[in-house]
Amino acid sequence: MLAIFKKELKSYFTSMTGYVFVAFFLVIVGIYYAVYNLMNMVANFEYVLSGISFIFVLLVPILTMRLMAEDKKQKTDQLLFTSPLSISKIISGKYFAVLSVFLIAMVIVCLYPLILLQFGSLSLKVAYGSILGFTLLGAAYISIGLFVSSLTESQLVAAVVSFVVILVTVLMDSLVSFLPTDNRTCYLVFFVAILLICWLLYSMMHNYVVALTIGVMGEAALAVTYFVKPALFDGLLTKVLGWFSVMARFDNFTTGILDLSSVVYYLSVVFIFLFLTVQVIKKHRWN
Amino acid sequence: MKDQITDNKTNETIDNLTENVADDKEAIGTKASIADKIKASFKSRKFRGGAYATAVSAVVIIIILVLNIIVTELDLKVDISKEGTFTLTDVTKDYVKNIKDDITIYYLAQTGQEDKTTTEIIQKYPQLSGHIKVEYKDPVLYPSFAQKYYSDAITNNSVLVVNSSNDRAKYIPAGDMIVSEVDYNTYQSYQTGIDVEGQVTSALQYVTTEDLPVMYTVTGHGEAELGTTITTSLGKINVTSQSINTLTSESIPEDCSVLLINAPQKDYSPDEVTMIKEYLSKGGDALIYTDYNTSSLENFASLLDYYGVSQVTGLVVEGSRNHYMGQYMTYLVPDYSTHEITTDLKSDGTYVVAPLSSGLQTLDTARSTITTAPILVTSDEAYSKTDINSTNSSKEDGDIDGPFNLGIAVTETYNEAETKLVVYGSSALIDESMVSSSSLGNLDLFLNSVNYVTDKADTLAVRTVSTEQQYLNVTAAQANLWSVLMVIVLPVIVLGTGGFVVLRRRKK
Repeated sequence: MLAIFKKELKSYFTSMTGYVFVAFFLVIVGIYYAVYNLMNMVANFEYVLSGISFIFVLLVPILTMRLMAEDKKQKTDQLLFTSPLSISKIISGKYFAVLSVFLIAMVIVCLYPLILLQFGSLSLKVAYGSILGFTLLGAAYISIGLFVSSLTESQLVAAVVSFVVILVTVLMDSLVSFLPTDNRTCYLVFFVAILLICWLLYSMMHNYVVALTIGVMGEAALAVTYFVKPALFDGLLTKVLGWFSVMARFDNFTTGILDLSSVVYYLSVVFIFLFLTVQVIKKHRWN
Repeated sequence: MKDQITDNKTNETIDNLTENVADDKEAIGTKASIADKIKASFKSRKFRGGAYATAVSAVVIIIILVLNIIVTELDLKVDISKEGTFTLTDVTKDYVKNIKDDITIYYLAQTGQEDKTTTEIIQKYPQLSGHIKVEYKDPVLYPSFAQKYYSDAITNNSVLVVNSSNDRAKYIPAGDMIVSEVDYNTYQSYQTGIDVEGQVTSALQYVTTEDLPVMYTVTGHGEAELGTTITTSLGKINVTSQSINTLTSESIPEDCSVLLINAPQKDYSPDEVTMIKEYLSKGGDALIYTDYNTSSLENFASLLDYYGVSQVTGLVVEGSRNHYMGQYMTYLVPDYSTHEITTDLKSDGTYVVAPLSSGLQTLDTARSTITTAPILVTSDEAYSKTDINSTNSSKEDGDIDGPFNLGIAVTETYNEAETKLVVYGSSALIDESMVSSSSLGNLDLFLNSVNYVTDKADTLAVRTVSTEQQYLNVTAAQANLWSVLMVIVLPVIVLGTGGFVVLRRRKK
């Protein structure tokens, strides 16, 4: 894993990619920092970070599009996968390399709140709490980007899909509150969701018996819950989507709450997408 | 290795062939049962490969989900905010720990529009006491839910505290949990703090307090009725309002915390006065409003006399321009004396208007156990017009010179029973037209008086959390310097390093 990690990280900093990423990141953070903290003299560094949380929509695709797609196109992935290293090690090596590029940028950002100290007092706890949250948010997005990259051969497709996926997660928060909250609609949505899961299962296993059994059982359980306790479905759609919302978790950090569940959540997102990436690669190898 | 691969391949083809054969058999029409079909579907190669991957993925995802749910349930949070916004104060903690009743705090917010701060703070209460639980109710989905406890329209993001042990409830509108100030340059109000904890804790106090003050309003002598503003406000400060006809009552009820006598137009009977005196001497409290028309009610006057207060004949007219409202010289704007009742009115700079008031005086002949303190006083230029039907507003012969008290607080401690009495010279002080005006302090004066006589300790003092924006001190030059450094110099250095590294590699 370390070999892959070193090789990947080196490739970022022997080409311009790593430098361009860090420089671009610093420019955007710098602009918000200048406007919020220096021009408007606001004593909250966390505003800068919540202001630029959209940055991932632009930066993550750039950073991750080439990760798997390039290998696949140049057929160098065959080399990697025939090597004695396990796929999960290769993937984690690649992931941690990209993450390190992002972390280097974040280490520089860590100095920003300290610079403000000469102008007055500010809450360093919240500032560094937000930096932690921002880093976790970035780590989660990079893992999503890596997964998307593993799905396709074309870098462009990988970039566009990651862009759209991250954009949706950013916008989801504000859109969620407009969703219907009555229990009937929520029930129907979950009804459809189970059908979709069945379809997914079928497309993965090509076995209608398993898909149907799980589908029927799922729908039955859902229907029973709905008829026994419809109140459980009140606003459930909003709640579930809100729970999954990547951005809402970050808001905790900027308002001054260090929440263990948010940290675990982000690490889970990272893990699940790395895991799925490994599954996708394995599937390719079999085929 | 190669052999193995070819082996695999041949196996696969054989598998496929047998499958095809099976399919063909079905097609031919031999009676293959559904069970056979199902069996066959589990044997396909595609299924075996896919099922394994799917099962592993599903299990991993479910484990991660469960782990997340467990951690969420543990609710391990550290409050790192500057003001300790999300931490309850010791005042609340101490109070809540002793609560014995089962209490539900309903957060009435539309799903997806919950206020983060309110949610966080409310969720802290159940952690303090097993008797408290928090429930979310969407007011859009359940518009009539709150009506059981609160009859008026409710607002989004408001809180309802219900004590299921005694069915007492307290509603906290969203606006009450926000402290705001008006910027008089722009006439826009902006938020300066939040008071979620203060409001919820005092609501808890309300729903759990054993005995709430009961106010009895005396009727039967043409007393003025209380307006809606007064009655609803009494509810807000947790005072229950009742009425009592002293003529037909044997005695003042025991649960009476304050007796309100609002400007009787006809005199009381001596028996009624005795009854009220008896009530007061046992430590009862009263709030008395007099009327300038009725300074001649003998028995009523004797009650006031008994507590060292007398009504000056006539209607007080203010001579000082700064002490009456608009063109009405009888709409007095009195000065505040230093007293518990008027402290916050004084500091807020709000005025009280006392229309058509009679002057009050303290009697030197009062018993030594009695202490009187003025609350409202007129200016020195005030005078009392003895001929109340006179059309001449200026001072005439026979008018009595001021200054007068318009409000007097009387306390008497005797046999360890403390009697508190507040007397005002004008019943118009609590007239609906006066108390409903938010720019005047009349309503507050009334509520403060009630709180004073009932000895109601202030609601638990929980400080509001300031959310006011803090600023740094950055000079324009410093701002420019650091902005250039951050936005231009630093990124250029990074890019430069990159360019240097890449170029050097190429040269090699």
